[in-house]
Amino acid sequence: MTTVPFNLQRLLREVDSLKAEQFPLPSHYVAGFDEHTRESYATLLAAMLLAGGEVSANASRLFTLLLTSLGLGSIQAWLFEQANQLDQNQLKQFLRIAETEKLGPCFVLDALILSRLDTPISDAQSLLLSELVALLQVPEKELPVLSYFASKVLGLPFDHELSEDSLVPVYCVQVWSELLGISPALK
Amino acid sequence: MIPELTFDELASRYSLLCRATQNQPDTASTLIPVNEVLDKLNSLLKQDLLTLAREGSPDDFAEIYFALEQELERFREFCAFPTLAQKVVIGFGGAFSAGKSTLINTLLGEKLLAFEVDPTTSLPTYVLHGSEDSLCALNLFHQRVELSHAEFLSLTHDERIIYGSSVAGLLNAAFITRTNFPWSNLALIDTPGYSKPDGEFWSARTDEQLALAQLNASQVIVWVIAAKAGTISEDDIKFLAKLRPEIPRLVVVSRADQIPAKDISSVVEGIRKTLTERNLPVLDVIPISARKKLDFPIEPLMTYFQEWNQKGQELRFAYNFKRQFTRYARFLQDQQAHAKLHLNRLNKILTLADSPDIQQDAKELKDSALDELNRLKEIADKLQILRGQFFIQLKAIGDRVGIPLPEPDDIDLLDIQGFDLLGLLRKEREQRGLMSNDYRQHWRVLTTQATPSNLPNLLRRNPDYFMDSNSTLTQESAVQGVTQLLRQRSETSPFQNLLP
Repeated sequence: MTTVPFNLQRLLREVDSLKAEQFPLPSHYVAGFDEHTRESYATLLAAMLLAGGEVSANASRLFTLLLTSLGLGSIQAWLFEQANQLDQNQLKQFLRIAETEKLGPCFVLDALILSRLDTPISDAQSLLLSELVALLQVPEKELPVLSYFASKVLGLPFDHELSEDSLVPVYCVQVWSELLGISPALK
Repeated sequence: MIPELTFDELASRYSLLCRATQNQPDTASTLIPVNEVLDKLNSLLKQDLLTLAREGSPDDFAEIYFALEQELERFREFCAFPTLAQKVVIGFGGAFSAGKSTLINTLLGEKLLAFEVDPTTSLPTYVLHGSEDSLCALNLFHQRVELSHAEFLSLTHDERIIYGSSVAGLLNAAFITRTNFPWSNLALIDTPGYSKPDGEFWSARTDEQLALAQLNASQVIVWVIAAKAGTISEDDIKFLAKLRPEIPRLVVVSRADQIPAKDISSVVEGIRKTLTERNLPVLDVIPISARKKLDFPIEPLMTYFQEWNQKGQELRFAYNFKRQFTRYARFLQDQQAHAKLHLNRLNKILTLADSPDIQQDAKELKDSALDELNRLKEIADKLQILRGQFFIQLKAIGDRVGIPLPEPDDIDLLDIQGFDLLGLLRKEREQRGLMSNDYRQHWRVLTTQATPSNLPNLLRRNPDYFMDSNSTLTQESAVQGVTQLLRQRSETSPFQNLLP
């Protein structure tokens, strides 16, 4: 009988993957909505990832963590397929949901973090984010704060002044609360 | 009518028939435990999957099932010959009588395969390197049948005419090993002609689907066109279009000596041009002749073979099985997405409806949509369990025969084409009459080079961090500078309830 030799690399990979299951991110604010809303939200995030070219291992892992925090199962591949086939109607549906449920700032923050994960946000990604900000009608004064939170979550230096009226809804950071050192209970 | 045969001829044919119809494994066979697991896989497909399909399946389920069945059949062949799994399989395809077997014989410098094969008895045949010269076949009961070379040639050529027997119909595939086979990492497979031969004989063995399955499972395809045809036929093009585009293809124009030498370059160019125009890229188009080797040397083809011999083998069984299961799963996911959208809309109607009658109607519709969603989820769950069982068994066989066969990740199966998200967003913004703005100055800090120091925590690669995370929540310093930037959704007071 032939046996497959012990594979340390594979074991380490599996342990690494288990860590993501063992230590999930806190629940996402959008997790409180129905499945259609959650899947629409995740599909647009997947579209953002795909638009940046090849999805890196880190981005894929964070996206998986986000899916868990959204209360969605292992549907990453299906979401990428959906994102790849995204059409005007689906986009309209998402924008309608985002407007009704005020998910714009939440989405932009998540998109900023996913976009900056491995490399600095490129001009092409900035164009996409700008279009999204416009469509989601996120107030411009909230953008520096969202950028600040993205920097804090990622552990990047942030040396810009924030004006005193720069505020974002608290629920935006619910999923990142732990990394910001604030209690998820603040939601 | 049975021809007159001598006693010895009858004895040899009887012996062959007994071997070909053997339905019990030799007790010393190492295949016994593997066959048991293969039977479990078969049962999962033929019983469990078919039962599940009756509860809900896509319109193209028959195609999915057929592909799984074909793949399992090929997998059986590989299990009988585990060394085959380590080889880069070069599939020789083409129309009936295109010259595939002759080409393989030319490459090997030996009359190994029968040419002018009887179309009713053509047998997919693997040729590969081995520690000894051997020839065997797998029969319909998945048992190994040892054959002499004379028997093999007769089986696939004139067995029916001379002995009145179609015993080759009892065999699924043949395996020839040669110690002098020149490429240690390659295996050649001679597939049945996909096209219907001229004449009265035609069987499922020459079926297009069988050739398609064999070629799609190869790592490289050598497509053979008879020079006499003068060009590539429309049937060839249609068949090539059905093959997986990611498999590299090389076209060989066989028996190049059968047309005038001055015409061969225009035939080659014509084939190349037609394939380019039909978006069927090929590595090369090479004219070959076994008779006039000086005029049409085999070296260019040999160079490709040497190159492929250097490459590692990517085993596709797990991938191919997963691909079919995923097709089924995608259908269920799409149906669920549709049901969820339906529910979402009904919930809105329920929220907005004032009239009790409308509320009642909407509630009934919602219950019905929920039932449908739950039904689909149940089927999806069952499919996932079935798929899991299938891959556990597959991996068990892999471990036994020394071939790693883990279940591929869903992501590995994705075929993502570039899509224009920016164009989609712009179009929508313009339709809404919104202004175009460049907001990048607001996230300028994220466009600069710096290493994110928090990645191990963010990506959950630093368990110590999470173990202690509760304590960090009680530290006042962590809260400072962050909570001030948050406001409550009610917007009553930005700082209310934000501090511990």
